[in-house]
Amino acid sequence: MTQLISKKNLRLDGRKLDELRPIKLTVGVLKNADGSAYIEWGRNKIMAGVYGPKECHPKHMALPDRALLKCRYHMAPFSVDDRKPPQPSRREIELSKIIREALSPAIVLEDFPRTAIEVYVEVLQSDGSSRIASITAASAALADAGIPMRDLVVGCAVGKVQDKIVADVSDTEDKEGQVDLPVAFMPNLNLITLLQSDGALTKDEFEKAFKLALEKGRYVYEIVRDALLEGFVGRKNEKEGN
Amino acid sequence: MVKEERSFAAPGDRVGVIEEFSPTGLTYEENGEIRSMVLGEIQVDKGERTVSVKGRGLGSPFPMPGDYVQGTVESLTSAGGLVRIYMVNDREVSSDITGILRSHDRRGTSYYKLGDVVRCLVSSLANNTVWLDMEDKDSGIIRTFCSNCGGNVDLMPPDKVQCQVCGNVESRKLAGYNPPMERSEHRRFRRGSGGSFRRRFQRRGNERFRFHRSRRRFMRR
Repeated sequence: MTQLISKKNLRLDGRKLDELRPIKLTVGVLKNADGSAYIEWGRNKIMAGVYGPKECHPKHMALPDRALLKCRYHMAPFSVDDRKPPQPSRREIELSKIIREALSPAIVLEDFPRTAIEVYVEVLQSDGSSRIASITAASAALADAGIPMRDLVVGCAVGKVQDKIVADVSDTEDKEGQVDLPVAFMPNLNLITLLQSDGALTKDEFEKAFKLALEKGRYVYEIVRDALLEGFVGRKNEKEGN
Repeated sequence: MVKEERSFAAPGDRVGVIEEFSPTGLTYEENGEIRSMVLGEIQVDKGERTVSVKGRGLGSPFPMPGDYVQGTVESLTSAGGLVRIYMVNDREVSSDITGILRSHDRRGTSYYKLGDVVRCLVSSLANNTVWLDMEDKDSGIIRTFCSNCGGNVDLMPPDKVQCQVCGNVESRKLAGYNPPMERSEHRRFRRGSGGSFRRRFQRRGNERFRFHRSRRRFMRR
């Protein structure tokens, strides 16, 4: 078995147990989408684009009292070690649903009856915890598109590796470790929108892991918020000619 | 509006409390706190005691009943013309939205043709369809060509256009002009309900002739 954590409690990439990988988020990167965001979370490289609210197609799917949220999570063929067939896999279809359900409580869908809001997430390079990175990027893209939201949705995946609780599991830790616990939430409203667990934790371990996920999620929130405000102020200054 | 120093908010940010301000424009109240719904600039009106957030606006507006839209008539079907909408209330639409515009007005005359650029009022969103209407003064054709030769046309308000090349005269509902009255409206305007009385008694034949004549005399007065 691979030694994932050294005796000095350092992980394979040299991180401490509760340390996140470097995160870089930019909003408004795509000209043609209504809103967009690009996130680099460690070696994850993910692009999110948002359209809408727009006319719903096919029309029979339109909802009379709220907007329909459509999400598509897609991994590029070159995003993983082996070539990934480009058609939607079982995992991608599941993650599209997960992302939709994680984002929908945050969006004020009732304001746009009979319309559709489309979220497209393209994973250009994948390196573990890509669902949380995708949700974070998608929520930033939605805010960039000007769609009314109750709060941003951010998160962090925590896990159990060699019986130790670690923050922000990487690809190897996800595959070789014991537990992967992605958590997405709305930090201002303190509402959880996604909680999955791949593996078993004791009650104490779960509490510790969950607390760590919320703490690290709030750190991610600050990064997302700063990137959004920076993008907004930058565009505003550009428009006003400053 | 009294402006404070520039401050910005992201969705979910606390922008005030309800004891202090009323939530307006793109804010909401949750447990006594006013939070922003969009990414934008916080605007506080100390006079009115309101707080709002001014965002960059939605990427693409969606037409609602009462909105004016502009578009091109793309195809004609039995239900009406299919209008590809490119503007809602003078804001450009980036996504594909189509609406259906009735092919005849209440007089029964065709008032637009394929390829016309039209301005219409959204009348309803029934059955997940944007239903359009051109009955009011502001709605109508904005740009049209002769259906005979494709030439430019001169406007002949209120409801005709004439081709500058071949002289062909066609009927159109022109934007900015009140639609002409219906024929029945003209009759009502001239003679009250006399017309319908006369039609009814003439159909019944000669035995009613006397009454018919007296009725007509009365009508003339």
